Amino acid sequence: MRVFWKLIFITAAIAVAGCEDGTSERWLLEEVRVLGVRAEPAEAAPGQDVFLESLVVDPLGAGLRNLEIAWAVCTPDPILGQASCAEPGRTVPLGLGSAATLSVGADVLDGLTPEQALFGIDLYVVVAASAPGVPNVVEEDGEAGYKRIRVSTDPLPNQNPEVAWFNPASTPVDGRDILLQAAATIESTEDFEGPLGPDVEDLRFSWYTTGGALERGVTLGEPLASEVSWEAETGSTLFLVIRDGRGGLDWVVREVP
Amino acid sequence: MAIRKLAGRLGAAILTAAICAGSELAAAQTPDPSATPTGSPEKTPAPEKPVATPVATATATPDAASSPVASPSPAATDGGGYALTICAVTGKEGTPIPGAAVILVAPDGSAAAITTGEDGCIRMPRLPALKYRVTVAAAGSIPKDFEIEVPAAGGLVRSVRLDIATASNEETIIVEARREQPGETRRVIQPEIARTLPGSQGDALKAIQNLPGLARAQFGGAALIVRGGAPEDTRVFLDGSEIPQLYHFGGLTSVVATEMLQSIDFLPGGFGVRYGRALSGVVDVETRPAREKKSAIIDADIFDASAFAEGAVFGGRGEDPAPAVTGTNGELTSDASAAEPQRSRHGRMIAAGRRSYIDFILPQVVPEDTLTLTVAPRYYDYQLRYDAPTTEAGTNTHVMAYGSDDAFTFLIKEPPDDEVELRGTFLYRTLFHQAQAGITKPLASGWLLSATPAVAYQSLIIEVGDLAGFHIDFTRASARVEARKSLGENLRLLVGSEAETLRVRYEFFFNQGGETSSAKAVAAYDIAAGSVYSQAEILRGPLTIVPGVRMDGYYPTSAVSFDPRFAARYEPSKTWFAKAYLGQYHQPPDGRQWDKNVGNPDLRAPYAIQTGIGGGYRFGENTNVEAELFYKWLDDLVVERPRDPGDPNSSSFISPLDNRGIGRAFGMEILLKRELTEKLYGWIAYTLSKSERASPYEPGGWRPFEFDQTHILTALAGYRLPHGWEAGVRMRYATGNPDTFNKGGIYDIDQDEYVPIPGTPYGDRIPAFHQLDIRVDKNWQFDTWKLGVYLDIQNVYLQPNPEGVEYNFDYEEHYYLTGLPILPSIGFRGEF
Repeated sequence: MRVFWKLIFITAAIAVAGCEDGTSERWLLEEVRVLGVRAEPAEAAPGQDVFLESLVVDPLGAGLRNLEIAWAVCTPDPILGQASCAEPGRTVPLGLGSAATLSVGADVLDGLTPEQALFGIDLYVVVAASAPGVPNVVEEDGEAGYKRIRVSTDPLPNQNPEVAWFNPASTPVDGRDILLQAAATIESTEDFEGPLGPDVEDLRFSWYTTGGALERGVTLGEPLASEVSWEAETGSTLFLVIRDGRGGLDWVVREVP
Repeated sequence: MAIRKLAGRLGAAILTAAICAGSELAAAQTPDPSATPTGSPEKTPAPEKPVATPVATATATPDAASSPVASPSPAATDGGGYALTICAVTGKEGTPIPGAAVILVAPDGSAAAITTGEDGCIRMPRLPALKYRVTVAAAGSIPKDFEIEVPAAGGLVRSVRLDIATASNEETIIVEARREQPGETRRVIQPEIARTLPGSQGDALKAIQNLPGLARAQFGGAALIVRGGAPEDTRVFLDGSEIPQLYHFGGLTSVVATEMLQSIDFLPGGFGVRYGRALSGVVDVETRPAREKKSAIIDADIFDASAFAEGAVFGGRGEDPAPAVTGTNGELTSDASAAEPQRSRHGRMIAAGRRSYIDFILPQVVPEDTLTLTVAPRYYDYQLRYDAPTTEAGTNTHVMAYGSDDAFTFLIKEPPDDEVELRGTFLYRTLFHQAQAGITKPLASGWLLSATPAVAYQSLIIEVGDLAGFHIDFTRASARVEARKSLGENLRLLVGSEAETLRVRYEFFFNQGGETSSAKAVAAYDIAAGSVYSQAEILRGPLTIVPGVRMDGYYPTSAVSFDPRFAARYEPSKTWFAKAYLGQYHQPPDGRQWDKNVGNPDLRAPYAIQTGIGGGYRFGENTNVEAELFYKWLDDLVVERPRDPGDPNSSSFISPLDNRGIGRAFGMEILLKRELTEKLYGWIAYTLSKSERASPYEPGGWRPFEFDQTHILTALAGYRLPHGWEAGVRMRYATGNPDTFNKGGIYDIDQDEYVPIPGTPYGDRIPAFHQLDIRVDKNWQFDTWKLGVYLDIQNVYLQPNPEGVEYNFDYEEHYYLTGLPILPSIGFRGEF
């Protein structure tokens, strides 16, 4: 029911889409941002190790400061939910750096029925990126994100999607609109048994840029490909993250000369 | 009540959004599907509810040419066996004025209001030989105020000539009759005056926002937040039946024509046993009987146009019009149990309707490509009322049908990034149709019997493209039966019963994505409620005490609630009074909360203990002050229990419910009022209050209630200028609502959205609200009709009042949503 009301509120907010609020756009990278974490495997079995790789950007501070990335395991508060993962008291350090390894305990599914174990449980990993300030140059900045690692006994665990290609449709020219096009591999969309019955993954394309202006930041795959208009700015860096809606994720980065 | 909440919340925000001023869904109101309407008996010209000391005042422009005693009318040649006869006439020929109001006030403060009959006269069969203050007033005329002394032998006859009000000397009558029961706080607004208050936009029902005890609703909506209570804790009745929806789009304009209204009573607390199943307050709106004289009104402003017509339609049997009030022992009383009903020989009818036209205007004036959506809000309402001729036995009957339909659709062209699946058409529609009847019949035994049956249909539809939708339909039948009687001078009895059945059908769907994934729920259920109540009004000189009891039962839960109430009033003179009350008030959960599919059928009915003490003092003839201290304890409030993530049966959409919430509200209200004298009227209403809630599922113990407003101040004044001009001004201040500001966000990597990190629950506040409104009227009086033009401007100095907080995508930046910077409304009104 809360999701329903969230949609209502969002829809009402759409009604004022023509009214500018002056806040920043999510697709424009101007500060430290966590854009994604890829887990391999995307869905783990008990006792398995999961390799975690992060995509974190610091457009303003590149070359000026060290970006520190810290990993931790989170146990969310049952009432406050995943937002409680921002509280230090609910996390256990896992490591530092752009990548980390999570060792899934062999007994994490103990006590569950076979059906419950087949569906699995979620472990939560937090990645916190922080960058110190440089006096008179750039301020201190940081961002945190959390990722679910599904652990189950599913014989067909989820796989990460894969970006097949990501290219501008034409040569970027400053100030001109061009299409950015991308596609995922055929294997990126999987059939699965969801809580409401058989389902198929829908790919979500998240676009980011350090310059220029995107028409929008998120598009849906149709079903494997998508595109978005970009007012080009040479010298920018473009990022594309695709998600399968079940924790699977991939990305690609393009520098625009 | 659920629909009123939903409709109000969405409607207010959607309409504001249409004018591109930024919006957030405001608190909304929905009708309580399990509530039982309370019927009120057929209205007679005298107040039907037991009255303590109604006080009516009217002042006339001093006019040396007028006299309370003019040339006698043909009917006033002798007493005709009556103690008192007063006739209202006009013009050189002494033309009788039917339908004029005659107000009599006895030395002890008791009073009665009577309407003249077809011959322009009222006749009192029995009346104590005392001095009375009399006011005679009629629409379009200058009222007269004078004193009479009824002789012991009776037979007093007075003829009063009223001069037609012209543009230069028309008077606006403010008649505020406090028809309180002892201990009860009841604030009465006369619709004709309320219509012209600044900021009302010509809508009398919006005038209650100027009274103490009512907090300001977000975005200028009409949510009734009474003494720190939730909007759904206050019930609204129209002629005794609960009205499904009071305003269009949550507050733009009311669904009932102001011209139909006889009175608007606002009871913020301590109300009697007639009203039940409400934790906080009651708004009791009464329509008036149709008049025999044919008349019509056309009204139009920038939002909508309305029409109103009334008059006699059928002939019928019945005696000539006679006084509406008389005492069983000759004493003046307003007790309807001893009243003779107003009698009319003809059937009379009222027909009224309104239609908005912003959906026609907006596309014509705003280029299509400047809007990212296609907006078409529209609303309409209608009212029909038929009053049958009074029977020889004195039975009065009327039937009424009314309804409303609000709709708003737009095409989602650009869904937001974090809900990219949102496509298609957004549809919002709420409508209702209600039919009800009112029957009053005096019995030979002295009892006055009344009955109010009603049936209603209501629907709410919300669809968000193909992603989600919600349909809910209500079909309701209700009835109330009451009997009243005076037993001697010092005791009045009231017994009554009401019942309601409600059939609810709702359908909910939500597409999670993919070709086959969806959630859908379809359910229907029946609920019912019934009550019996009784109270006695015991008079001992200046002291009146009213013990009462009410019992409510509910189906299908078989729960029963018991509400004893006690009130007292001490009024030794017309100068001052004191009152106190203590009572229990239950309100059942709404149908959805009790539904076994989505709620908890084991829920108990929440209840409130209300108590208060207050009084009033009159300074001279025209100024009075009232003050009241109140305290309200709330218990067994329905709260959501956290879902157990480890419970496979736990729904991902619906949280379980229980009764572990508690609340408290306390404060002070002051109303300083200056009644109309020559040219100036106004009042200052101030409320100081605190409202808190607590639940074991929220950390930190007591926290501010989301509608808590510490200070609420309203000051308004009106001034009558020469040549038909009138100006009014209103200044309002209200503390901002508590809110939970976010202190940043954390990124959900898999869902690609940011989750807010909330601060202390309701630990912050939206900045305070303050606003100045003005209204200017110009009236022209012609031979057979009257024309009025008005300009109503809200927020004259363009204060950008914050209404809510919004954030950017990662909750690192925030900004305030503000209401409309200014809202001018120009309108005209023709009365025929």
